This record gives sequence, structure tokens and C-alpha cells, in this order.
Amino acid sequence: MENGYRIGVDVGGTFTDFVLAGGARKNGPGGRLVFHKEASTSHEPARGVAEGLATLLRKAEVAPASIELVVHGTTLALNAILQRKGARVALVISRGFGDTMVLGRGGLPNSYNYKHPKQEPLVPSDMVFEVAARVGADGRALARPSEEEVRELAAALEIARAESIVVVVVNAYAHPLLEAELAQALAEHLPGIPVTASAALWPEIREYERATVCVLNGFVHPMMERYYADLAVRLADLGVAAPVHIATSNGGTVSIATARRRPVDTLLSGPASGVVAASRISRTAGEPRIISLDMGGTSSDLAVTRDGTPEYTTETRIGHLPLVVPVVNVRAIGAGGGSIVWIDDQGVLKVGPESAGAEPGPVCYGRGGARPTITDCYVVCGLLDPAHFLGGRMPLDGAAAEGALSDIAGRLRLRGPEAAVRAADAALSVATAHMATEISKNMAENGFDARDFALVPFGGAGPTHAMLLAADAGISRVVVPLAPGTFCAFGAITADLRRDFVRSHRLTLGLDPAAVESLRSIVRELQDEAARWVESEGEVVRSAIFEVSADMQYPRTAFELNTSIPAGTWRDGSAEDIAGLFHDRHERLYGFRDATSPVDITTVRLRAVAPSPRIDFPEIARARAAQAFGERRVFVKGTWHDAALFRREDLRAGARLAGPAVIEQEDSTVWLAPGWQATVDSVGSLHAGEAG
Amino acid sequence: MQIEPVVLEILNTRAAAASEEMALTLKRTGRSLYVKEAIDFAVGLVDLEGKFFATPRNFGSALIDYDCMPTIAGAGELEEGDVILTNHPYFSGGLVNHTPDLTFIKPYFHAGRIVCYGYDFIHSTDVGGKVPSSISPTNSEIFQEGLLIPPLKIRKRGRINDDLIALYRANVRTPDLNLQDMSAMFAAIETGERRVAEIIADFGVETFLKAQRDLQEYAARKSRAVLRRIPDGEYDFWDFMDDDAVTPIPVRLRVRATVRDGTVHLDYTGTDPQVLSAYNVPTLSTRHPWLTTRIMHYVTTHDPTTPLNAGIFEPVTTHVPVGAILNPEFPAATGVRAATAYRCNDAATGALSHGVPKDMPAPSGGAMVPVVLAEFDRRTNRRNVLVLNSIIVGSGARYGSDGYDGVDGSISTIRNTPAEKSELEAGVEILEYRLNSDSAGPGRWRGGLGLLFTFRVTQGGSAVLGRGLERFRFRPWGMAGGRPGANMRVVLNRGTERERDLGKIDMVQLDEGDTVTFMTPGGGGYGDPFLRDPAAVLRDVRAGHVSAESAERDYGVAIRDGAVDGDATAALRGRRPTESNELSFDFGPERAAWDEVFTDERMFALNRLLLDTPASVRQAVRREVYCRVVPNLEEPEKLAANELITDAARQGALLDREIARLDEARDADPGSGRGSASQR
Repeated sequence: MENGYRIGVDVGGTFTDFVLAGGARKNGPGGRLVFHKEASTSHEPARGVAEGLATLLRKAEVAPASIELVVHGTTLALNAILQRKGARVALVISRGFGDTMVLGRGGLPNSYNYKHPKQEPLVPSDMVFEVAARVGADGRALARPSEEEVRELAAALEIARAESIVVVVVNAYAHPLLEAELAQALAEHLPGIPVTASAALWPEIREYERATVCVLNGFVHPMMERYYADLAVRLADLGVAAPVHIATSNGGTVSIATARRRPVDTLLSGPASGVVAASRISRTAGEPRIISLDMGGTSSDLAVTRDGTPEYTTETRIGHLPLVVPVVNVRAIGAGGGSIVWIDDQGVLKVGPESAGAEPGPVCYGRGGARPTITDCYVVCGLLDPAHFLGGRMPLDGAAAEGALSDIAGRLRLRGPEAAVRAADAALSVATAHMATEISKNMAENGFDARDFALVPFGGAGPTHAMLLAADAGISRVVVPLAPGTFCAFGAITADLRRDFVRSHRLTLGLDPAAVESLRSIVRELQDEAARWVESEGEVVRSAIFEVSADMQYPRTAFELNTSIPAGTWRDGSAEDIAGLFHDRHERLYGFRDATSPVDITTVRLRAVAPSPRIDFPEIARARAAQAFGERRVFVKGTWHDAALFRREDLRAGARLAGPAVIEQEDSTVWLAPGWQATVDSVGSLHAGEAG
Repeated sequence: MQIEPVVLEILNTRAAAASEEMALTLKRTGRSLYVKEAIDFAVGLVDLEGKFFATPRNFGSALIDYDCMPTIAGAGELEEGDVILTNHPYFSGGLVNHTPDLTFIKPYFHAGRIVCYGYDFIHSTDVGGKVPSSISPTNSEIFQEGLLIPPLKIRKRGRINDDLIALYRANVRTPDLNLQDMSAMFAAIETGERRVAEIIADFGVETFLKAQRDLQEYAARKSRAVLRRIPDGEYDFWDFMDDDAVTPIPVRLRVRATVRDGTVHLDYTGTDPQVLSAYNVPTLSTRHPWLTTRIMHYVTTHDPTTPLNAGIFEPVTTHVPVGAILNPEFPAATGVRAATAYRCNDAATGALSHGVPKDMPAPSGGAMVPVVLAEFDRRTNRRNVLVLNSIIVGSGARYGSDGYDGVDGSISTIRNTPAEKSELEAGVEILEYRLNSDSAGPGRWRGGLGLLFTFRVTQGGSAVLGRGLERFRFRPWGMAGGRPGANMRVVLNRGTERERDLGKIDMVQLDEGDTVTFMTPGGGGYGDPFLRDPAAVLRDVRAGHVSAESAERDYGVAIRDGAVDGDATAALRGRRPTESNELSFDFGPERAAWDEVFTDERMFALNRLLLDTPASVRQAVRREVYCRVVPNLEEPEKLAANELITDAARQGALLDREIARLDEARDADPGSGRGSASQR
């Protein structure tokens, strides 16, 4: 009997990617992997998804009824925030704190530019409502609104035409009752308008950061509700009855019901899914330490994965807004294929930060872009075949690219017939040097060494640029997945059900004798809440594991360190055992411990993970010989190379190639640099390394 | 530039990244809050002439224009593996400017010769001296500010100098913490060394050496191109600090910017003499970064691709008379020099705005100090001293944009503290943390609003400290017809019968239940407020940022029933012509009154004479002069400067008499002054 199929969908700004996987016999090898790419329909996103899905099913010849799960990642919510196209959010907040969203933490976005544009808050000041509701740090209610005040507040919110309401009471993270009661009362007065209490969504200390999580959630809540409802109807029309899961920023998935309530958990799902896919590759490829590089049209994103686990962060930003929920640590490192190549007034060649994006895009797209980009450089240097871009579906204008780069060459005082090519090569060197130094900086920040890592490139341009970059960054191994262009969609279907829970509560180990008991009871409460949630997520999930950690610090330092606490330790360990975990981690990271000091626990975290049934990359056929279909001249690092041309689909498991070579595939082009060799593994990944 | 432009750009990236990696290493491995949280450290790569050719972009606002040569030369002959340590403002030639800044320089060798130097410093927690943390505004000599280390080798050929460490340990309050921070400094400076070696391996040592010069020339060309936006001319400006912490006398910072074809000369002649407190800025007669910060930000704002290196300053020269607060003589204390530099930056902004009024912002609210609470901690049974929050002010407006609300856009990168954190750590309730209504300078573009921070102490025996609060006497000025921001206020039990302005506090004892409110100034406004879009005024009124009274009085906008009354507004605005003069500054009534007595001419004369007075008696003479001219200067409740000027004509005449008296005294004893000292 066959397993059912899973479908992954990743809606990006330009393209929507689809992947279908499964169909293997129960407990057996094999199975299929089918990819599809479709232009996004930004005005009616659900339509594009449904249409692409229908095409994918036709292409794979799979019946809608045999789909067992659809996993969906999307940047819709993120783009709505960046473009300020969300709901009219009203913020109801403790008296005295109405300007919280304006004040933030008070820092400047850029200290070298005093003309940096002013950041408008997501909630304009006329949508902020102060209320006499306040809890002290010890849990005493310092102010409580009367029924009359609540009624007046509800009336004011109605007049203000609030579409989404967020309630933030100072200190509710520790004492949520008053805030919850107020939210409940407002919800009763204003049926049909979603009301979110800050501590119900994310009970972490720091009023501005907690309010931001809630405001972001409220801002996208109504539109995501509408989108998911629209999608459900369209999928039903297609005959797809399978449950839909939504990819999350922490590299997991949640049911659509959870995603509707908590869209803030899904904001960065696209990039996170790519990193999850890379972590899967990490296992099959035997590379425990991976730097994943997602290089698309507008930017390149970097993430680090060790032993199959991505690095997480609680300090990311959405535009200028801090987001403190744990997310896969994906960081922009600059140039993408659309980054513009230019010459400054002093005659020095620059790449970016301006990008031509998807519209007008690179000069070679022929959509009106006049300034050359990195993609134009690939074309002019011969790294990309203009006739076979996107499998030939989108021919590029190589002559236009060359013309634009000739202008650059002229300004660099390059002469002769190869001037444009040399300018393109120079621009690639500049972009590469910049990206490589960004990798080094990231490594320095975490105390890693790039030489211990393999690079996993994906996105359209990742495989083209990977080996140029690896050489500059001191990385000697590159693993190119089989379908780098739809990698994020693949990551989504391999992701586990996963949600983070948090509770800020200060406990001082070594000073407060009841600290350990308090910790245990907080963990048990979190675990109960998590278990109830897992239960409610539906049948896809079987059993969950709970990972406990705590943010700890030496008292009076402002620098917290998240330390994981094994189940045995939080259940049975002593205060010294738990503090010891922190001392050890502190010493490992910073080289010293203060063993005599008490240790503050500030925030307890619990992550529920319910592993999804494994999806393996299907094995591909074996054949040692790799047949080149031609040869092309490629100009890289100042010289011409005669590169053999291969088609990715012709490369069988066990095949060996030597650079210089170009491997073309529908969704990307791989450049195998001179002096590098590559072999194809059993699931089709290309392992490239410096020869010798 | 000798290197071809593509290679230069790659080396530009590589060198800057090397310095950023140094900073990241220091931040990651550093121990103290100064390193981890306040990011009060810096790193860089230094050429063979002692100038920075690469510094990081992402760490605060680095000060680039230092001369490292006095420190390098001061340590004698250098060998591979040596690391120089100094914290001596005077012996380092101004590279260090207050004693807690432990500074390392390491020569980087290639094939037996020095190819450049690595630099880093951290603000260490304590270097001994009179008070914990070593800094107090009331220190008068640098000897009170802790152990002084002239340029010495803390490592010799890779081996730690144990004698120096032993001496150091014996003199500081937090030796272990500091030594852990020093380990981080070693790690960072070695990171830079490795990256430099890689650059040399990739490009060759000759190219690397040329690049150091070329990168600075590249920056210099960009800087010059930006500075050519400023028309040629001579532009004068002065601004004030309230006082110097030990006398009530305002401190005047005066600058003349002379611009010629993209070169700028900043002459600080006319600035007040050095003070007997820790506000002195030790620039050692060099072109020093604290004098030129505004120029750097002007360049990087208008060409963000400018490499951050000393080349930016090549079109710039400076002059400060020896003995002025911006060029003090040893052993003047320098601990809180940043407060003076902050105002110096405002003065330079004002001067340059004469040339490019549309490019320059009005000043920020003008203060950057922590609000500190001292209390008895019942949890630990110890005295608990902690920062409750930071005084943050609003930014100045500029042409085309209101200032940032509750954010300081000048040189302060200070951040606030969450109320929930403060309440957890201290026996307080934070009652309000909001924008301070009517604190911003009105204007066609208004200043950013300052803040209003109120807390109540929930236990007796607590005290609040706010040392170094500013802008009580003078306000952040308005530009191009814009109005000044509000004065600073500190209020006890605001809104109750016991309400009382505390004025400029040092330390105030509080009873259980007392509330303290800090009301910080907003930034100055830009452009005539009568030209502000009435809809924007309405928005501000609705948001509570501007009162309806201020809307009428300052903006000429009448608001009735929550809407703009068009006719009434037209009538209000018709009553006076609007100002369109870009060079019209509004310093507020305080400054207007003060300047009537203390005119630029008189101040030139007075300060020249004071500089000629022996340093030992200079401050006493200065105090005497001011007390004669302004008899009620020492009354603490008379804070606003216009309350001190009761009869400008008479007080002006008194000042003239004092100047004449000093002149005669000098003529009588020409050998006594330090006019002779300056010729040494």
C-alpha cells in the first residue's frame, strides 16, 4: 500500500513554489518528489495557490483525494507589515504608557545618518487608548477600570472603527488576570472584532516588546483570517480534503486553526523553511555543520545549522520593529541577483545596496531595468545561459546586459572587446568579497570558524554564486540540493509541528529557597498548556516532546543567556544543578564563570515538538558517467574557462564531475569552479569540494 | 589613488570587515555591562602614521579622528608580540580622553616589519580614584580619576607584563572584571591581526600598504565632495552648558567655522576656560574627534558609502586655545568630557547651519544622563544602586522632517529601560513613561518630543540621583524661524499639593510614596510654526503632543471641537508676517537676556584675559567676575538664565568694568599669565 502525498507551498513576493512528496510504499524506500513554480498573484493570493496546486497535481498525476497534508508557508503577512497594509489596530494599554509604541527602546536606526526617515508606529496615536488597568510587579491590582469605564472604552473603540484590538497591561506577563478580564469584557462589548490580551499571546517581560508581538499579530490577523478562509474554500473546490498546516518562523508548522489565532508565529516562515530543508540535507549529506545561503532576487540570507538544528534567535526585527518570539536565525547579508552595479563619483565600483528587485528587475529581463545587476553579470560572464533561464520559459536579453555593463566598463576605464565581461567579473568579485566578509562576521559573532562548515546554497542564484563565495569565505565544501529553486517549499513539508511557549518569572537560584519548586511548577503549567495545544492540533500529530530552557543571568547584569534544561534536571535536580548548567554554558561561550554568584532565572521557555512522519529525499538512479551536452566559455576571476555543460537531470547518483563546469537545471544554474570536483549522492545532492 | 578601483573596493570591504570582526569578538567575549550592553568600546586598524584606515560601521558612533602616534612613540621600540596599554589622556596625546578607557595598541608585523597597528579600548568598570567607577563631575584633577598608565607594554614579545598587572590590580576596585575585559581586548586585537595577515596573503604586502593610504584618500575625496555643499564663508555660533557642576556659572562653547572650497576650519577661540570639574575635553591641541563629530556625521549622512576612516577629516582643521575647556592643561580632570562634547557638537551644528540650513538639524534636547536610584534592597539586605531609566530627549527638527520623538538623534545612543524590568529590580512603581507634551520646539517641522518619566518609591530611605542634567538655564534652540524646545524640569510629587520643582538635582532623599517626575526637553523646531500644516498641528493636539493653547499661541492654529477652525486660524496667522529667514535662530528668552550682557565681544575679551590669568587662580577670578556681574547667580532656585539678568545695561557695564580690571592687572604683571606658557 502507498503512503499518501504531502504538498508544500511557499508563496513568495515573485514566485510561488510547490513541491509534492510521498507515494512510497509503507516503510519502504522510494517515493516521488515533484516540483513546480508559478508566478505569484499578489492581489488574490489564494487563487494563485489553488491554480498552481491544480497544475502540480496534473503534472504529478496524483488525485486530490490522495493528498494527506498540505503545508503552506507565506510572506503575505510579512509583506503586509512592511508595506503597512494591515488592519486598523487599536492598542488598549495601562494609563501612563500610551506612547510605548512610539518610544520603543529609544535607539536610532542609523547613527551615521541623521536624515534617516522617521519610523511611523504601526498603531497611530489616535488608535491608542489608555485605561486605568494596572498590576504591580507583585501582582496587586493598582488600578482596575469600572464597568462604566469599560463601556465607554468599548464605545470609543467602536467610534474609532477598530478592526483588531490589542490589550496590554503593565506586568500582565506575570499576573495576567486583570488584562484577560479586560480583554474578555471588551470582546463581549464588541462582538466580531478580535481582541488579544498580551499575556495570553506571549507572556514575556518588557512591555514594549510584548506589545509589539501583539500589535504585529493584531495587524495581520483579519487579513490572514480572510486569506485562510478563501484558501479553504478553493482547496475544497479542488477536492483536496487534507488538513492544511502553516509553516512558522521557528522552522515548524502549526494547524491552520492555530495560525489563524497566532499569525505572528508565521511571519518569517519562508526563510525558516529553507533552513529546515538545509538541516534535512545536513543529515543525508553527512555534513553536521552547515551555512545555508538563500540567494534570491533582492537579497541573500544566511543561517547556521549544527547537528541538524538551526540556530534560533529572540532578537530579530520586522522592519524596525523588534520581534522577541523565537525564530530561526536568518540574516540578510547583502547582494541578491537584483543588486545594482554602479560607479560612484570617485570612480570606484559598488554593488548594492539598491536592488532592481523583480520589477523592473535586471537589464536582461527586458522589463525596463536600465542599471546592470548581479544577474546581468552572470549572463555576460557566461555563468547563465540567457536562452535557458527558468528552463527556457523566460529568455533573457544578453546583449542588453552587455550594453549596460559596457557603460560600467567605460567608467572604470576598461577598454577592448572584453571590457564588459571584465567589468561584470569585477562586480562579481566585489559582491563576493562583501558576502564573504558578512559570513566571517557572522562566524565571529558566534565564535564559529567558517572552515568547519559546508555551504548549502539555494534560491535561484545561490548555486551560481556558491563556489565563488566559498573560496573567498574559506569554506571548502558546497552541497547543492536537487531542487534549490523550490527548497523552501520542500522544507515546509519536512517540518515538525512545533510551538514555543514562554513565561517570564524571576527566580533567583542560590538566594530564594523556593526557586526550584517554583521553576518546576512553571514548567508543569507550560507543559500542560502545550499538551492541550498539541491535542487540539488534529490527527496528523501523534506524540510530542517538550524541550525546556530558561533565560538566565548573573544578577544585575542585563545580559541573559538561554540555557536548555534536560527533563531529568528540572524534575529532580537541585538549585545547584540548574545553576550549574548556566555556569557551564556561560564559561563555554565567554570563557569564565562566577560560581559563587546567585543566578537569576528571568524567563522560562518550553518548546513543544511533534515530529511529522519522515519524508526522505527519494533516491535517484545510479550511473557513474555524466555526459556533458556541450561546452561554454565562462569568464571568472580574470580568465576565460572552457566549461563543460551538464543538465542536472542527467546526473545520476555516483556521477563525478570536475570543474570548470556549468550544470543547468530548470530552477537554477550551478557553477562548478575550476579546481573543484563534484559527486552526486544517492538523493541527487551535488557535493562539491576543492580537488586535492 | 594608486590601486585600481576594483581592488580598492574589495580591500575597503575586507579592511572594514576585519575591524567589525574585532568589535564582534570584543562584544562576545567581554564581561562588563559597558562592553555587553552599552557597547562603550571601539576598535580599529591604524596606519604607520597613527591614523585610522578602517573602523567598524555597526558599533555605536565611533570616533575615528584620533592620532595614535604619541601612544605608539611613547612605548619605545616595538617588537613582534608587543601590546601597548595606556589610559592616560595627556600622555596618549588625547587618544584616551578619560581614565576608564583602557586602550591597547598592537603592532602587526609581516616579514619582520610593522605593516599596521591594531587598536581597541573598553570603558572599564573602575580604574580606582576618588569614587567607584572613577568618574564624578566634581573631580577637579585627573589624579582623582584613578590609576594613570602612560603608554607601557602590557605584553612584551607575547609575554604578559606581570609587574604592570600587579600594580594595576592593586589600584582598581574591580580587578577581576577588568582583567576579563582585557582578555576580550587581546582576543579582539588578535582577530584583527589574523585578518590583516589574510589580506596580505591575498593581495601582497605592498598593495596592503598602499591601500591604507588610498582608502583614506578615497574617504577624503568623498568628504571633500560632500563638504563642497557648504558655501564658502565664516560662520559663528555659540551654545552653553548650564554650569560646570562645581560653580553655577554657565559654560560657553564658541566656534567659528571657516569654509573654503570644501575645507572647513573650526576655531574654538572664545570658548570658556577649563573648569575645576571633570567636564574638560583633552584634545591636546590636535584636530580631535570630539571637535569634529558633526562634520563626520554630515559627510556620512550625505554619502553613506564613505569609508569610515581618518580620510574623512583631511579637509578639516581645528584650533582651540590652550587652557580652554576644549583643550585643558594637565592635570585637569576629564571624566565627563562627553557632556561637553555633546554641546560642542550642537555649537558646530549651529555654525555649519549658516551655510547649509537645509542640511542641518536643530539640536536635540541636550542631555544624556542615567536616572539612578539608591535604595535598601530587602532581598539581599544590601544597598542597591541601579539605573531606573535614562534621560532621553527628543531630536531636533530639520528641513522637511519633524524630529524623532523620544529619540536623541545627535551623538547620544542611550537606550531606555522597560518599566517592567525597573519594577522587578527596585522598590518603585513607574507611573508614566510617555512623551512630554509641549516639550518640542514648535516649527514648520517641530522638534521631537522629550520624555516624561514619573516613578513612585514604595519604600522609604531611597534616594534619586540625576547628576549632569542639562538645559535648565538655556533651551535647545530653534532654527530658520523654528522655536526652542522646553527646559528640563525635575518635579517632586507632581500634580499634588506638595508639588515642588527640584531644579538641578544631585541627590534627593525620598519618603515612601513620593513621586519624582523627569520632564526632558524636546528638540528645537525648524521653520516658522505659522507655516506648519494645520492638519499636522491638529494631529499633534489630538495625540496630546501639543496643547490646544500651544497650537493657538505657537502655531496660530485654532482648534474647536476637535477640528481646525479655518477662519480663526487665518485670523491668528494673519496677525503677524511669517518668517522665511533660514538664518533666524530662536534661543529662547533665557539666552536672549544672557547674551545681552555676555556679548560675543565681551566674552572674547574676558576669555582671552582669563586664559592669561595663572591657571591656579583662573577659576577663582572667573567666579569673582560672574558673581559681581550676576549677584544672584548662586541662588539655586534661579535656574533660567533670564531670571539672572535683571538690568542688562547695568550688568553689561559691570562686566566691562571687570574686563578692564583684568586687563589692567595683566598689564601690571605681564609675566604671570599663561600667555607665556602657550609660547613655550
